[in-house]
Amino acid sequence: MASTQVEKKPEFAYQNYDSTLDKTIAFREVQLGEDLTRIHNWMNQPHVIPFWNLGLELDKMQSHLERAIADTHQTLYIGYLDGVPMSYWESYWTKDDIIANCYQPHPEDQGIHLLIGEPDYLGKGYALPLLKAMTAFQLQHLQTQKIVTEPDIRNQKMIHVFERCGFEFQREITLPDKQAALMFCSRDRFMEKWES
Amino acid sequence: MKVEKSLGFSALFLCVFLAIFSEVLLSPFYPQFFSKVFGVEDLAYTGFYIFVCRLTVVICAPAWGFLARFLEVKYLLYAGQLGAVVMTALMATSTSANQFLAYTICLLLFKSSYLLVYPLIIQLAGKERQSAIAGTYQAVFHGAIVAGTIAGAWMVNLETPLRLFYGVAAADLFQFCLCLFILRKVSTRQPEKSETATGKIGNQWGFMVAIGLVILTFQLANNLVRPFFTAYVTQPEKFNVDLVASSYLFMIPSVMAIAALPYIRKFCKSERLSSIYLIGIAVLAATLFLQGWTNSLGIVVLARIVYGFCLAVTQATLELRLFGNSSSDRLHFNYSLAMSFANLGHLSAPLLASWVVSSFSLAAPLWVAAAICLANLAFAKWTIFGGFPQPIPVGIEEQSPPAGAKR
Repeated sequence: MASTQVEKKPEFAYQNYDSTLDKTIAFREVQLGEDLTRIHNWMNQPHVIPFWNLGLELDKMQSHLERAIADTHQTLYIGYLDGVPMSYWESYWTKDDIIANCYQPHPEDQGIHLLIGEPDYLGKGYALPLLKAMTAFQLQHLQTQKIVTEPDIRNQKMIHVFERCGFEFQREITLPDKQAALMFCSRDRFMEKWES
Repeated sequence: MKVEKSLGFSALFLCVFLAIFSEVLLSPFYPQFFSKVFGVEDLAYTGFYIFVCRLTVVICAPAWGFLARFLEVKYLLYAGQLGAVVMTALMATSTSANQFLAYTICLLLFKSSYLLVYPLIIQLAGKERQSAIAGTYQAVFHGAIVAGTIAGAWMVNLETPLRLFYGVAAADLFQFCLCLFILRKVSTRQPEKSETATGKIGNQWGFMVAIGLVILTFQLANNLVRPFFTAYVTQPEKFNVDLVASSYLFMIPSVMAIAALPYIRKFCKSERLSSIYLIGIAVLAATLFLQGWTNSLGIVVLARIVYGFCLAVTQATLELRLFGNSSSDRLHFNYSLAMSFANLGHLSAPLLASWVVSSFSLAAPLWVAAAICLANLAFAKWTIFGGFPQPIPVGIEEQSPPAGAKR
């Protein structure tokens, strides 16, 4: 059950009202002390375990998060919907990621990993507006011309959400644990699609 | 909203309970029933009657499932329930065994539609609640068997057992009214052809045949041990227990199935189904073998406790695998097809049991069942838990994990 208690003044790195949802979407950086149990809970949800494989014990999750937060190639975020924390995001530089073996990355390219942790928020069409918000947030870094993603090739639903956001399928790639769809969303395409 | 939904589920589960209860009511006592009511002393008539009943369900169940692809499920259910009310009432007026059989065939033609209830509950609950629903279904199913067996023993001793069919008809009528009330605002329309299924998962015929054969052998093995179990444990040279004690021993697995409910709800998730099933069926084989091999009543009791628990868990796992791999638009059809395979297993079990007992011994069905379980394990491992793509769990469109997430 999502905690409806709004935290004390979370310092949002990004905040935007989404008129299609009539809700405010926001992201703030993960704080180990504050988010450890929350992320541990999400990673142990039945709908998350098969994909993320991070159903760890609390102490192992703490070590994992400590390493992930210290890793400068990525920034971890908690995604909010109307003040309720309900999703986990990894925003990363593709040049330092395993994906760099699959295409020629530009030094400023960024990538996205995501999960909606709260079961109550599943299947309600939140994935697209949240993804749109994260992409817009990443494109605030003006040198970034391209956002990259690599969903599982079998995950037609997620591929469809990425396509609706503005991502284009490039080709199938082989990664250590999955056959993935390499997808790009260029700044121009995103702006063209969503600039009102 | 949530309260209304859970009331709806409770009502549908009550329908499942009543349907199984009325089906089980007389099944262990047909020889006594035919003898008392129609003067039929030939035991083979019971075998013939049960065979014809099973065969009717084998043929009719997929027909209802097929209709469910074109017509809204709740209307099919209403038709089936109304037909069942009429036919059950007519059974009470039977004057000969053959007339009783004819009415039974007509009844089963309608009553096969009840197989639509379980996938309907799954459909309404949503895929994320499947393991909870499957666990509850097992508990309700076996609870109805226990209650039906106890009530049947009482029923067969009545002066005029046939009159009780009016009572069963009234229960069917109650079910009909209940469904009419709870489904009045619910759409039970089948979703349009699933666009999210991948090509591999969309191709379901191979998978259906494979899981059908797994279900057939599973039901064959576990029904093989039923007809002669009480005869086996009451042998003077074996355990020498009386009839009452033998019926307690007989019912242990059904009671354990109810006890397995919390476990099924908690642990039977899509990513664990394969290992749970394969370990469960191996334990089933071991406990079946033990029951036939041991001379200790304590070991039989212990083996039946473990056997009953694993029986419910493995059966729920199979059902979850079936639902997990069925696209929404084929849920009812696939389930009814699977139930036809299950009924083929039910159909052949008594025949095989009779042959095995007459050729070998009263313990032999337990050993043969253990061997069938092992064959089932091997086949399931290479097909439904290996050769076919695993179902994509719920929530997939809300996730895009990193590569090599296992860190």
